[in-house]
Amino acid sequence: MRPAPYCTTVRRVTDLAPAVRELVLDPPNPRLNFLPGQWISLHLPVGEKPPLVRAYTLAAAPAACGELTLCLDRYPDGLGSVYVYGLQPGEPVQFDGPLGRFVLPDTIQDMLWIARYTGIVPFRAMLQDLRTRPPAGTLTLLYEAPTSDDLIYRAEIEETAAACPWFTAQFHRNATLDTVPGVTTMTALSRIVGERQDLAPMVCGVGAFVRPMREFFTHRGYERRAVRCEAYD
Amino acid sequence: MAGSNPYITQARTKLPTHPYKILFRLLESGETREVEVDPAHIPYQRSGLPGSILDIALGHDIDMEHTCGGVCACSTCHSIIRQGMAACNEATEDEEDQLEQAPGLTIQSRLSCQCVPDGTMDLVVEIPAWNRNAVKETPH
Repeated sequence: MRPAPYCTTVRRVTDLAPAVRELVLDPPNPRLNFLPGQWISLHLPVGEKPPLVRAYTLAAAPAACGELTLCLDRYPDGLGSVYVYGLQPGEPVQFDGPLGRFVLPDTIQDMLWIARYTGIVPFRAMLQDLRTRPPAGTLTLLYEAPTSDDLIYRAEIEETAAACPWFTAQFHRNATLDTVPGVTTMTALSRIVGERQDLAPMVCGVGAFVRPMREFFTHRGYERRAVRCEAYD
Repeated sequence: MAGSNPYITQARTKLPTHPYKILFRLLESGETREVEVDPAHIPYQRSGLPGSILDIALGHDIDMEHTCGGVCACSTCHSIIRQGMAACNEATEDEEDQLEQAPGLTIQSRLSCQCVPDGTMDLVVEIPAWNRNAVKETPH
């Protein structure tokens, strides 16, 4: 028998950028046990044959209060995206999960995270987790977005970088519409990686962003699977 | 958000030009369902690649798990192509990465959301019993 989905309600909604919104959900009963970076599967009452199933990454590490946080951008042509983006406090949400293997690696290697726009979401949850149990190595974040306003969670990331000697973050703007990695991002990446083949890279962003990043590393001798890429849209 | 995942290399697919049939064997219930795929109706709905096994199943009211929404981000839509694999597109590395997590993996296993038959032969597709662990995996 298939277990019943979790049921909860939207607690609050916060706009983070012109087209990016954070939804905080009330603690489900039973509480959800998950790893930072994992996603849940929302059952949405939309479409010709509901439920429409769509996956959203949890944007915060597990909270003591049991709240769950989602963060999404509005995709105008997406039936599910438009519905979830329009959810208001008090409205019900059903979901399954957690799922996903894009989580903190059990490694002593220096980590390099690369994100574009809402691709920062799983990293934000992982970063919150690392503040409570710092990594063995260092962590560098390369984060680009179309505009400065779209660099969501920037203040929190900068505060973490200031407080944690093991963590550095670089922010880049790349307004190209096809979302290929920006020149400044690639330049910074080349500088960081250099000849090193011992980093633990993780990449999250749209395909046109992720694929060149993975190729960047494989061309430098990294195994394909050593470059962990998220797929959740 | 409409059945394609921009984070991965898209599968190369060839859509059918003529009607063909798929016999679904639903192992959880023991039922079988035969459906005729009409190329004019592809995509049937909004999850999975257009013309994929998942698209066709959901479009014919066959309940098939697809926790990620059919974007090659999980393995819950694992199916076994018992007949007609030659008519299906090749699996990408991304699909194979996900498939490795599926229980009961066979050499005929595919992700239903990524497997698109070209209609040159009929198919027999087994849908394994719904896998509780795949959706309710508990970390720690």
